[in-house]
Amino acid sequence: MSRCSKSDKKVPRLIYLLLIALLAVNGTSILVLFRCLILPTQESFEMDHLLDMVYRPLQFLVVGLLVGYIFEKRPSVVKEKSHSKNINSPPKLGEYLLYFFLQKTDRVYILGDLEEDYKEVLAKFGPTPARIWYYKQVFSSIGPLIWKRLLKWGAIAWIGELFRRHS
Amino acid sequence: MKVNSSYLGEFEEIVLLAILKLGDDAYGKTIRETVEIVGGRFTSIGALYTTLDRLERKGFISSKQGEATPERGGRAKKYFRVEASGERALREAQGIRDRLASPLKPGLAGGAA
Repeated sequence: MSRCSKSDKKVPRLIYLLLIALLAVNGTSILVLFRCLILPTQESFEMDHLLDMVYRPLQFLVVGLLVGYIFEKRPSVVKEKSHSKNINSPPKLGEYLLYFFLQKTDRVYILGDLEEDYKEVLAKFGPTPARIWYYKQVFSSIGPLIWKRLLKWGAIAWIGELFRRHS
Repeated sequence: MKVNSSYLGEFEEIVLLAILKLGDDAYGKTIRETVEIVGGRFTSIGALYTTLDRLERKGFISSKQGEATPERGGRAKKYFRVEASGERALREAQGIRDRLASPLKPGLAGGAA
């Protein structure tokens, strides 16, 4: 059961919504200021258009990143995450990705080896380097695993072709 | 299923030597660590198991299921052992390398144009 009461959750959410509104207004005001002060000095329409094209996505990106950061740091989110996430076990998404590409026969051994290694890295360097290490292993393993499957399918196709020719 | 091929790739050779070096403690994690430490290169677990599977199909190694431990999340280990054919293939590869490397004199190490 979560320890956060309903009133505890309400306050950060309100602050979060207010911050989004503030950022949106602020972002728009910067855009308006930019257009009023800087753009009139640029005589060429192309330059105006280009700056607008560059600035608008940039504004959304900055606002998005800030909102995301604030959302992650919200007390209620931090509390909920600390309850649900177990840092002693490897990242679930990484495990799922491997499940997707691994053969049933190898699954137990490979995931076991990775979990053993993950716990060693976790004890030596902490949770973030351990997670980075795990994902590095996952993404560098996917290529060879796909290749292995392709080779198997290729062999099956080759046998099929032989059978077709000699029948 | 055995693949009728005695050809040994570079990585396959390193993996076989690592298994020989580890003896009875040769399973995925220890083999990967040995290859990384001795071979001095990053090795993914996927690449390692792909090679181990190929070596097993060639009949150079055999495997057996080991014990499950809590630090592995209750998952079993898979121990590997080099078979006689694997040792023979290693010796052959070593012989070929020695024969080919014989013209390589120390003076030519820098590479003449």
